[in-house]
This record gives sequence, C-alpha cells and structure tokens, in this order.
Amino acid sequence: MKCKLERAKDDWYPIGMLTDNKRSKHHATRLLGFDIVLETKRDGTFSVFCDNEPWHVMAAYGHVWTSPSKTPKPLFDVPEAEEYDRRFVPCGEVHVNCSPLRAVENFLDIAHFPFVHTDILGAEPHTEVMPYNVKIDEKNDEIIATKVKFFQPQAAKSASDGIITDYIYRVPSPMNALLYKTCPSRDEVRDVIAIFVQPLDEDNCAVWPWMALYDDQSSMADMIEFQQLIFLQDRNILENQIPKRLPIDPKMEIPTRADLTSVAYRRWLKKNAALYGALTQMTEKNLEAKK
Amino acid sequence: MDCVAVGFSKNLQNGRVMRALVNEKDIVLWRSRSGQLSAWENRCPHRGMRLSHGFVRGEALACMYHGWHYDSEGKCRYIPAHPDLDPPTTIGIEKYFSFEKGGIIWVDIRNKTGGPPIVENLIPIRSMEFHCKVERVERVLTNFESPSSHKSTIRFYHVDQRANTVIVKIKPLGKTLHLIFQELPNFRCFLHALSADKCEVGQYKAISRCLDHLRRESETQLDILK
Ligand code: FES
Ligand SMILES: [Fe+2]
Repeated sequence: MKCKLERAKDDWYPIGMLTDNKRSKHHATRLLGFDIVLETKRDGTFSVFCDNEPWHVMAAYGHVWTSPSKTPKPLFDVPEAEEYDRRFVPCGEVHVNCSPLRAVENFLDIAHFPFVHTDILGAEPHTEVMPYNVKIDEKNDEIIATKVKFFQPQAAKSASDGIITDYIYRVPSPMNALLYKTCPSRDEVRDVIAIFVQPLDEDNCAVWPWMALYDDQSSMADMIEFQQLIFLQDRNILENQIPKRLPIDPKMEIPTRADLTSVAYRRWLKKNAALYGALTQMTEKNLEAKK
Repeated sequence: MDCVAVGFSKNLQNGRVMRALVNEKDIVLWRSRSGQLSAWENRCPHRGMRLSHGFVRGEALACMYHGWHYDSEGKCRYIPAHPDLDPPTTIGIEKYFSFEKGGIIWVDIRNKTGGPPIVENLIPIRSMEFHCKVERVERVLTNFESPSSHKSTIRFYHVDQRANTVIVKIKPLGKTLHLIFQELPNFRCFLHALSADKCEVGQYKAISRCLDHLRRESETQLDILK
C-alpha cells in the first residue's frame, strides 16, 4: 500500500484549469488521498499547500499541475501545445467515482463507441475493430497505439457526415493519455484530445479533458459541451464497473484482440509498479480473507 | 435464508433486465424475448460492467459497454468488435438458481432447490423499498397489534410468521396480507406484499395506503423502541 503511493508521488497531477473564474482564491481539493489547497495569487501565480507544507506547482497544457514529491519526474512533453494556430480548449472537470486507471483505460478503448456514444462516435452495425499496432516507445517509456481505425457518424463537432477516423493513442504516464485523430476540416493535420486525470484517491478521480484543435468554426462553448457529453456517457460506464480498481493480473478479466492497447496498458503499469488504483490478485485475496 | 424473493414476476416483462441484491451479492435478472428467466452474477467477464445496464437481444443479454452477447446458459456468443470470431467457450458468467412461484421471482444463490415458504394463489399488491432494516418493520408490525397502540385506526394483526414471511390481517379491511422481506445492505430492505384474498380496485388502494403508513412508521421509528 505504502509502496504504490510512494511510486505515485513521483508524478505531476492536474488540479485545476489555468483560468477558472468560478474557482475561489483558496480552492480545497484532494490528491492521492491528501487534502490540499490551491491558492491563486493576485498576480495570477499559484501555490499549493498540504498541511501548510508547500508543494511544487507548474502551469502546463491549460492546467495547474502539482506533485507531492520534492523531486518529481519531469512532466511529459506535448509538442502540439506549441502549435499556436491550434485552438486550446480545457473542458473543465468531470468527477468520477472510479479508479483513475479505469478512467484512462476507457479513454484508450474504441470498441465501446457504438454502444456508449451511439450515433456520435460510433453506430451499429459498424462495430468491427480492425487490427492495429501497439508498441512501447523505449526512449520515453510511453505506450503508442497506431493505425486505430473506426467508423464514426459524427467524429467531432465540425463533422457532419460519417467518416473512417484514424487514431493514434499515446500514454505518457499512468494517469494521462492523448489521442491524435483525423481532423474533419483538414487532411494533413490531426486534432489532439487528452485526458489528464487527478487521482483523488484510489477509487475516485477528477478527469480534466483538454483539446488542441484545428476547428475554427465551432464556438468554444459548443466544443466544451460536445466533450462534456461524451465524458458523461463514459462516466455512466465507469461508475458501474466491478471491481472499482483496475484488475492488473491477466485472467481477472477477459480481453479480446480489440483490447490490445488496454492489455499493453495493464502490463506497462505492472512493469512500472504503477499500481495506485490497481487491483492485483494479491490484494484481492487479502480483501476476501478479511470478509 | 437460501431462497430470496426479489420481485413480482409481472414486473419483469419479456425482454427486460433488472438488478437485485441477494445476501449482498449483485445480481442481474433478465427475461429473454420468449420469456426465459435468468439470474447471473452482475458482472461482465470482459471489463467488469454491470450487466443490469445491458439490453436483451432476442434470447441473449448484451452488455452495455462493448455489446458482448451472452445466451441463457451464460456463455458468450458474439463479440461485436470481431463479428467473424467464434467466442471461446471458456467465456461464461456465474449463474444462480432462480424460479417463479406464487407470482414471485425467487433467487437461490447457493443453488439449492428447496422451495420457498409461500402458499400459492396469492395476488401481488406492491413491492416497495424501505429505508430501514427488516427488524424495524417487524417490530412496528408487532407494535401495531398491541392494544397500547392508538396512533392510528389501522391495525396489522400478526397472524403467522414463517422464514422471511409475515402474515398479517389489516383491521379495517379484513384482508390477509403476506409480507415477504428481502434484506438489502445499508439499512434498507424490500417488502413484497401479496394478498390472500381477491381485491377490488378500491381495496387495492386502501391496502396500499396502509402499506405507506407502515413504511412511514418503520422509517421514522426511534431505536429506543427495542
Ligand atoms: S464489459 Fe461487457 S462487453 Fe465489455
Ligand atoms: Fe468513451
């Protein structure tokens, strides 16, 4: 238990948007089970305190990030955040009563589109998931899934007809994931959609979606509303998965070929001992023994 | 209790799905198009989704998350992400013994086949959730028959009690009711009320009002009344 928390402490986590008029100057929130306060100063800078002890803070990708560690690992790089012809859209938070890892895994899954995001991101009878590639990028120790193709009736706010969307997925750290999808308005570039997950504790999280798009037609409010709708549909799934924590050992749940990314994600978490929010056979046995 | 009443047969129509809790176990109950009843562990073996959110497709139950189909044996028959794949026969769900008797759906999670403690030919009146434990309701029922209770003109006369069933008579109506309890976690329970006698529409309503009264009394009763 101690050990998985220690490992989780090394990373950066999002705890709010950079600009948020509704947030109070002293905003109380939670991270990895710690009660913390995000303070927004008059000059627009931030500090974070836990029991009066200051934590590291930084601004990146539309959000305020913090870490309990004195020496956190560097935050992953998103080169697209420097492409200033994109529109950057932080979408606000969605609280979900589920493990932060379940939230990330759901984000990596396309097979649910026709059933959960019916007539938006997918529609029957177009349910087939074609073979795609997953690899670990050794240099940055990230998961990369490529050539993920899926038929979508309305892939983005700016799309009006169905298209085959081509995705690339990227998992740079256990609680953050990005996808790069075919952009309905321009062929040569890709829209970026990310979820940054704030683990409140092992069974609760706040999901902060963030987008970097080439859509110059839709209004900001429409784009946020579109993304919020998608995440609310996902929340209904995430809050009804049993067990709450992500089963990390094979055999506890049964994957199929379409789950290649999810399988790689679980293996990668295990290899990295990133088990905050995970359930291993050991912990399950312990829980049962206690009953 | 091996056999637990989870609802009235008539409230689970063909093609419908419901969730039930039996001795703290999460269970999905569903009826196929042709009317076959199944009770399973409420968890899809794929990614753990509660199957009670799923939908019936003919003789199969489809999970809401990725649409996997399970036949009435609990075997996976179809995986929409791979329409041409024959799902491995090892993918299956834990089944529980369920049956219908006296207008009630019973589930026996220990898979014993002993019958439920109920007489036939009862008329289902109402299934209702109480925000208190079964003992509270039983205590209130006992209190109702005691002569010292003058709170209301309604009297439940305790006639008989068998495992999980209390048989009472309601004084102003002269009707005999069978009250079957289903324990739920977190200080809640279900009460399934059936009438032993035929009822007219007006009498249905009167009994229903008595049950509302019983619920109010049970939920608000202080624990001092041990
Ligand atoms: S969780 Fe049921 S089909 Fe995937
Ligand atoms: Fe989704």
